[in-house]
Amino acid sequence: MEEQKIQVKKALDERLMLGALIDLARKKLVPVHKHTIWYYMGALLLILFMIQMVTGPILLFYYKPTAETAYQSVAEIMVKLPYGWLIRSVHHWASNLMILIAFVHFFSTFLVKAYRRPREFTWLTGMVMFLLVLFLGYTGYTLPFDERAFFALNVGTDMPGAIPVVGQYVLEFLRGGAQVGAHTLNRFFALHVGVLPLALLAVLAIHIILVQMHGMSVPVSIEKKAREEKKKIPAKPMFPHFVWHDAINGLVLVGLLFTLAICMPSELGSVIDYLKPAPVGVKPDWFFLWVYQILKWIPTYVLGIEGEVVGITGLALAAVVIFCAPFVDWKSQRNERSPLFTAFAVVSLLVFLVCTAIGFFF
Amino acid sequence: MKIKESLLSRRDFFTGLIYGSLGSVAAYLAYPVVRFLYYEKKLPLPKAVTITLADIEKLAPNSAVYFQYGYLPGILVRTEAGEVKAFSAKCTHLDCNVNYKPDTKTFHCACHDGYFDITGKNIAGPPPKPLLAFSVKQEGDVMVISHPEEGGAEAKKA
Amino acid sequence: MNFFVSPPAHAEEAAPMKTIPATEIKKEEAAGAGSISLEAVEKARTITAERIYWLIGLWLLILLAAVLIRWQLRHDDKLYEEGYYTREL
Repeated sequence: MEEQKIQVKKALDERLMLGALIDLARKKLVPVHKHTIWYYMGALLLILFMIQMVTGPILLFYYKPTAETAYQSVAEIMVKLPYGWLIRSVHHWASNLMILIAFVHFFSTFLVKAYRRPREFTWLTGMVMFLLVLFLGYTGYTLPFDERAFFALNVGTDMPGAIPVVGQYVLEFLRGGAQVGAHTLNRFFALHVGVLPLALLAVLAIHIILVQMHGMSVPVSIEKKAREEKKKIPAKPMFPHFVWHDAINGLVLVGLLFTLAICMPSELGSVIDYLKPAPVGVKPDWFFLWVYQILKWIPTYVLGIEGEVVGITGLALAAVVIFCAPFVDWKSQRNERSPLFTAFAVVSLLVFLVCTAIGFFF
Repeated sequence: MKIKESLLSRRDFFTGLIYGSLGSVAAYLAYPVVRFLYYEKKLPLPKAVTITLADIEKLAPNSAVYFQYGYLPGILVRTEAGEVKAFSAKCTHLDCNVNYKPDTKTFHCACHDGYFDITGKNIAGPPPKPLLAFSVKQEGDVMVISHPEEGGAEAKKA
Repeated sequence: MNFFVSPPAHAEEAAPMKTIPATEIKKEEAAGAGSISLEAVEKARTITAERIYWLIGLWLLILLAAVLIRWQLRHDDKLYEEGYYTREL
């Protein structure tokens, strides 16, 4: 048995240079400290992405992407197809979990300033992926073309229209015209199934390569403490220790995912009635509740400018600051404590949590 | 380390157990996925179709026309003697639609040069079986054409 | 028409065949005909005992795999403390 194992290893190594890859992998160390738990988020996201890349295409076998057939095809998946309800619910819940863990991953890296030198590009690719994942969640939500989807299509494409200068172009690009119609569904389908997943894959590849190149970032406070105590930060090898950790986390995640999918399967709203008023209490999907709530609070006119414009522009500016954090937070770049940005991160987190909660309960 | 008598080292055995358990989780989850992909959607076939005698009278003797039987294309032949025969137009070789050749009184499949005679029997070329024959019955002023499985049992005879 | 462009696939031999109108007599039990109602969707969403058993089965398998891996992880941690892995690197 041993001999055959060695022979197989030699054969693979000769053809695939696996030996060199394994050598490289064995060198990877993961720092062990009180914030190590946040390192697990990336692997969880990757597992969820892989689940989506399986459940998505197989749903695609049966989903019919036109305004006339979309709703019935989703109903058929729920009712007629064996385990259709399960596959769809898994796809839906995996997207919710992926967005949730993406928020956790974003806030944790933001708070510990993992974006500082030399990880600026890791941060940028991560932020791009964050937006792609949110956009994927939004576009997927509209595909069943039920009442809620129609509302999401109308309001969701209306909001970018409030951006000054480019707003109208963005709106027309998203809608495929000035109005929402069958062509909008077509466009959202193309985005959700083709454009966004491919873009996500490409950016993810860069992100993962960068993470492997630079290794895991250690928070400033822990680095400082180690320097002061003249001690090395303990680190464990990725192979096998953290692979085992990731495996256990992944298993628990899958269990949680299927529990949610079975106990709370995805819903299907009513058929679109173009002449009905918007249903009372209609709200966007949970990950946009914070935006919804903030926009609700802004008065109709602020200093003569439309409230919508102020709100969207304000949020866009905040996003730009966050995107550029590595280049603006010069204290972190010097590996010093940066209380201003820590405060900004904490405030953003609180705003997100509080606005989401208020948006949900009221 | 592995002792000479044993097949595997303890570590390899345990690693095998781990992979086995992970594999069983994957197989457990793969089952609904595979079942989902193998969906036998049964398209419905009507019990029978009716064609008015008036329409059939309009046909020249020794000519054929197509008609729709649910999702199946059918071919209806009016022989020289005035008899009406109906078959599934799908060639039994690889499902191309057959054509009727009045000069030789045969059905011809252009895809791979298959031939069937007027009774639907496969006479030349690759088709392995005769054309599926529909039963044809006159009821009042319509011809009732039915699929042997959906309609009458008499249709089993060509 | 050359090697790369296949000849046009229209029937050149016989005159184009006509079609004759046929009226369908559908089966009484029009199985699966008509659109699926919201009630049917809600029914498909309800939890059944079977689904719970399947879920319990999944968790048992996950538990088994997790226990085995944790065992291995504990062992590898011990090896790490004994310096087995740092020596390699």
